[in-house]
Amino acid sequence: MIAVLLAGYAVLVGFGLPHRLSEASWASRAPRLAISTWLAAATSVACAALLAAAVLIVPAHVLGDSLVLLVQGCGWSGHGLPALPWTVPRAVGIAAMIGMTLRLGYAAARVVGAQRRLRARHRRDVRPAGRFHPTLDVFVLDHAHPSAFCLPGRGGTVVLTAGALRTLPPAELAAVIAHERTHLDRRHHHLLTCAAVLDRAFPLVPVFGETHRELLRLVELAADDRATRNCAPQTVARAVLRLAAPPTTSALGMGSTAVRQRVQRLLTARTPLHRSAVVARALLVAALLLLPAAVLTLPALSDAAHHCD
Amino acid sequence: MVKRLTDLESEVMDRVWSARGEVTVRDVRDLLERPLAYTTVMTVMDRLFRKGWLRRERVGRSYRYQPTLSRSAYTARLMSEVLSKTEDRGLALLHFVETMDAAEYETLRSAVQWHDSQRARGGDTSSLA
Repeated sequence: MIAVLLAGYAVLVGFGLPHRLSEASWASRAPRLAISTWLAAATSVACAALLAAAVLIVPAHVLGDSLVLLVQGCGWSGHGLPALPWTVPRAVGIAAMIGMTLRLGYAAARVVGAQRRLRARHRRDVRPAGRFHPTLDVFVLDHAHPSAFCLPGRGGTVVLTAGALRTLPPAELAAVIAHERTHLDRRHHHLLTCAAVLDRAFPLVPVFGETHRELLRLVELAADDRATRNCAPQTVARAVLRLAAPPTTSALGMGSTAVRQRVQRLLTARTPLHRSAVVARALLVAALLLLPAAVLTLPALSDAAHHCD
Repeated sequence: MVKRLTDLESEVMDRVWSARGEVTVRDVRDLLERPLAYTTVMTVMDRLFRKGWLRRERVGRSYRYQPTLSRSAYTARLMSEVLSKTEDRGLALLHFVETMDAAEYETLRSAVQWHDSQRARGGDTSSLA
């Protein structure tokens, strides 16, 4: 029964929520809150699915009891674990559990491996080609095309091309560096890695793919916001536009709805979310994170007290 | 395709490029900040030759080395690689912004310029060139 409830919840949030959330207009007004919401939704679906499988294997009240015991600090006593005969639902649960764990593990290994390889390569490639700019604390590549990026991870650094240094006026240069440094300081690459792993493990569940896509967009908005703390938003907008300029020689350009929205957002005066709206979204995040575990503990809570005697 | 470099190799390449011209193993060892054995530098430069990064000719009893690719040619290739890394989706590096399509860029630029002209009375003078 509880397994059905959890699975139903996973399907509801996993397939229903992305649609509602990606159309929400508040996301670009509060990108950090939106990032938390997406991550909470993805985590919630993954946990609910894993718990649903666990409940098929071990009876819900046993799982719930031990969760409550752990919370109460009684420790794991292992008592009351009944003999588990081989039944069809249990076999399904075990198969689902193994399947999901393997997929997750495989995806994590692939994503993290690829990432580590790429990062090491970039670091090595950039070092002999570039020179360190001590006052700006960035790496400069001797290349005419104006471009800026950051290499996250250990020894992470901001990289600018000589073209970017030439093109950007001082205020905009500071904005670009502040933006990139925000990515590094807030470890945005870790968030993107988590999203990428879930997306790769379960590509058919919309919430994971959408979380990955939205996070790529939202971390840029969050970094823009941080950059506007020390300068006018218009300065950041101009910097974005200058570095998005297509090279005159080539026609390779991106479909850039995201860039357009990003610039327009910086140019229009924004009203921050109302306090009550922020509280409501924060409650949603908390609910998403707690609900799967709460479903499990409900039947156990009523008769939990005597276990600690 | 030229093979990738290790850390020490990239350090040596950096010195070879900075030297602008033919160099010997001894020249490079003197240019390196940390004290390394002559044979270490020689091994690294030999490896760089085998990987296709350096070419060399024998002069007397030792080799004179030259980079096969100038630093700017190497950087150009690196940048085209970095700029085309759209499939890596934020895994290894985060771009400030992707290059836009020309038509869309022009539309957006005029929008920003219009905004600037609206604000011009406010004393903000820096606008897009």
